[in-house]
Amino acid sequence: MKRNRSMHVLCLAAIVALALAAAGCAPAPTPTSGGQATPTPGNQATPTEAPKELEPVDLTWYVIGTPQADQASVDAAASAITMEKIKANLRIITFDWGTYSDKLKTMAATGEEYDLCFTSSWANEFFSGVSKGAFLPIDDLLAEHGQSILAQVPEEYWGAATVAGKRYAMFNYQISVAQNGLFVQKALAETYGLDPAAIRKIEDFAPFFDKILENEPGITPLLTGGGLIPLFNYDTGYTLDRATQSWVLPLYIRVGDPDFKVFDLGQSPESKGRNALMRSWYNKGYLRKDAASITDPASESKTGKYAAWVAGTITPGGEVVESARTGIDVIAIPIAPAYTDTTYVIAAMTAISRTSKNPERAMMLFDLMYSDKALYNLVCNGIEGTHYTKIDETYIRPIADSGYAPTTDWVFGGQFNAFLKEGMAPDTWTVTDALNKSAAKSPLMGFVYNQEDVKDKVAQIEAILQEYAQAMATGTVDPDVAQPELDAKLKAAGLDDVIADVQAQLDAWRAANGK
Amino acid sequence: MAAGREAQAVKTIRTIWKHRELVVLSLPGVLFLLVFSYIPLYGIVLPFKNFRYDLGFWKSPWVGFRNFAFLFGSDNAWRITRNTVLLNLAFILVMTGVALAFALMLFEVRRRSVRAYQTAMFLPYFLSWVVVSYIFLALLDMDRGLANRILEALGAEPRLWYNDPGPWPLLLLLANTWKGAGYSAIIYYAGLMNIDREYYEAAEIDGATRFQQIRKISIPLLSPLITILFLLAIGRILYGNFDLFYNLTRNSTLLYPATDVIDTFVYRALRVTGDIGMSSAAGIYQSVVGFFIVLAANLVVRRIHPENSLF
Repeated sequence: MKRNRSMHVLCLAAIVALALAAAGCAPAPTPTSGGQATPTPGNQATPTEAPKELEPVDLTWYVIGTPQADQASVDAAASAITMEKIKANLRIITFDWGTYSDKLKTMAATGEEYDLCFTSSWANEFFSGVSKGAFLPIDDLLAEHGQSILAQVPEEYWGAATVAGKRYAMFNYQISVAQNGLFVQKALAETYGLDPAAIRKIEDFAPFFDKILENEPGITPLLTGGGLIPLFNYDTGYTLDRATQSWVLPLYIRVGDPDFKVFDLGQSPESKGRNALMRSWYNKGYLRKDAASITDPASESKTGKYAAWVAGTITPGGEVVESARTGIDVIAIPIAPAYTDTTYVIAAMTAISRTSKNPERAMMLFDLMYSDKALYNLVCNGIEGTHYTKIDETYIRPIADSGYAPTTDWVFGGQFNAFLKEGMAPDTWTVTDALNKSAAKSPLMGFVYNQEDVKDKVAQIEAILQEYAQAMATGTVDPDVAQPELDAKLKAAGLDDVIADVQAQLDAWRAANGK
Repeated sequence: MAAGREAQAVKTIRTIWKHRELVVLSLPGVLFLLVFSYIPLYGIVLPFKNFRYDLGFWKSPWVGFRNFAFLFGSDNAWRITRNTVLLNLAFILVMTGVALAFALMLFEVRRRSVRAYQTAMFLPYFLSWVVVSYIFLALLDMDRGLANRILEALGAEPRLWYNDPGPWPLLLLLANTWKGAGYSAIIYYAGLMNIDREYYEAAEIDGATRFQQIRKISIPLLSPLITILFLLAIGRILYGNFDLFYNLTRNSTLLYPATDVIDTFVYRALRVTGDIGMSSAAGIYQSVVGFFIVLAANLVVRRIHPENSLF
């Protein structure tokens, strides 16, 4: 009898274990099957619903950055504001830079429930998220609850967040202009008479680099590296425009070309000239001999062993940020005019998850990040007196080691509502806003390439390019040898088919938009 | 016929009842296998689908073999398959040889010091490949690395280790063996401990040397274990150890001709798009080919030594 019972218990345990495992694998409930407070997305009724009538809910928001020790106290302070205004508790969860994209993709694949997440061209990739159905379309929500967002984000940006006629993410309005250039150590620039005003293109740095080589043993003139940007993007000026959203695919059009002809960048005189220049610089010693295997240029630049390094993009106030980051006084020298395209515009966005139970409240929260300066700055900078001290109405000074200093204003909303850090020009945000609005705009703004039909070829091409890019961008390999090799491999991988596919979609887009 | 089948069923139940304690003991293991290895098998449909989060697992559209195309187009397929198979084959052979040698040496030394040797050899097994990659960087760095310092002291030209694929197959072999040999050696050592001491005593009385004892007693009696471990390892011959190939080489692109394996290629090709269908296609390709290699290897073993084969 006793033995019998223990068998029963074991069987029961087994069944429970199996049921649990099966539950873990089961598809997530659809967003609308939640609790009673679930609003229907797209419901046009009661646009001016008073906060008091709302049921209290919890909102979870995933962002990229460095996880902060004191997140809990900031969440509590922020929730006090959001509870009062939109009856929501706020929980912000930060995943580290390196793991954010992987974790968000896994969460989307398993149907985990959350409300808001950071998405962009470079992390938790926006267009791939949309094509896989990770985000909710937001048009109705935005019209209903997103007035402050609509007021601050330039109208023409929205095309970049639109896929098949629907918008899928809100913009975190920040600098969305690329201006390629170099950061140069200020002390060295002054010692060797480098005149920033005289620099027009990257070749103009050569005399300065010669002096560094001659007089500064132990200092390498130039650091480049970390991926593909140096090879293809950094001083094309604004003559070439990327035809897809991929950083890796080398497909470009020439700005001003009435036919919008898509071509392989590797075949352009610009790219060939650049590769030859980098090769000669490598041979002269402007770059380290092992430049191709530098994997982390961001921390390498902090060592002070380089006279100049590639700036991701030069922004107003960027020198201050870079000097603080590296601990070295730097000046920023642009080598190309400022411009903007889809990729830069979508560099920081926030999407509402398909699994959100409260998409309306999520939109209200994000709108609040635009309209409520106190809330926005609380999330960006922490609690006054604990995490930062206020110098005056616009300037703050962070308190060192306070446990909360994400320094990523642009993941939380419209950056132009943020307090300025000491040392930044008082008009930083107005200048940036003006720059955004005045910069040359890509003729392809709003064109979104869908690689679905040739994705196997795109995957191969991306793998091949990652193999060659850094070696060629640093001049480590002879372009006369490497370029033909690369060309042959790309051809075998089906680059021509991809070019044809991009061209076809581009032509259809032009026809539809009258370009 | 029916009666015979019934009798058979009764007999099976009787057998189970007779060994009920053993059956209960094996339950956790069987359950574990069921939950983590058999239930997830339904995922085998993923490589043939275009997976979408919103449509979910079953409703995503079928795409046939399209997800496999990225692996086999272009000339990458040949390079990554060659690198994976040849390097893994070298790993398996050298690892087996070195681990066996260590196990035999451990078996021959005095009992007291065995623990110290075991620990020292086992230690690298617990290091993560990321840590090992920094140990290697300390050796191979361009201007701070030990290897180049030594080359300079000898008056030779320093080398750019991370730019030149030439020596890397050897370096990878060295690292893999150094890290894993201690672990395998302990398995073989445990096998040796199981051999009846009387064989050795008899051999000693007959005047056999130690070397003869190893050759005529230890190795023949270990051969079933060696074969089984070898067969298991060969089933994974198409799996490149991503940690090893990615970290140890510092993902230096110039080394790819020698170090790019299926797993690093798949990572590179799909890192941006994160396509679940395509990555599971790579996974199923590796396991199906591994399955047939195990079957074939087992067939060969059964021809030569029927009692050593797995099944």
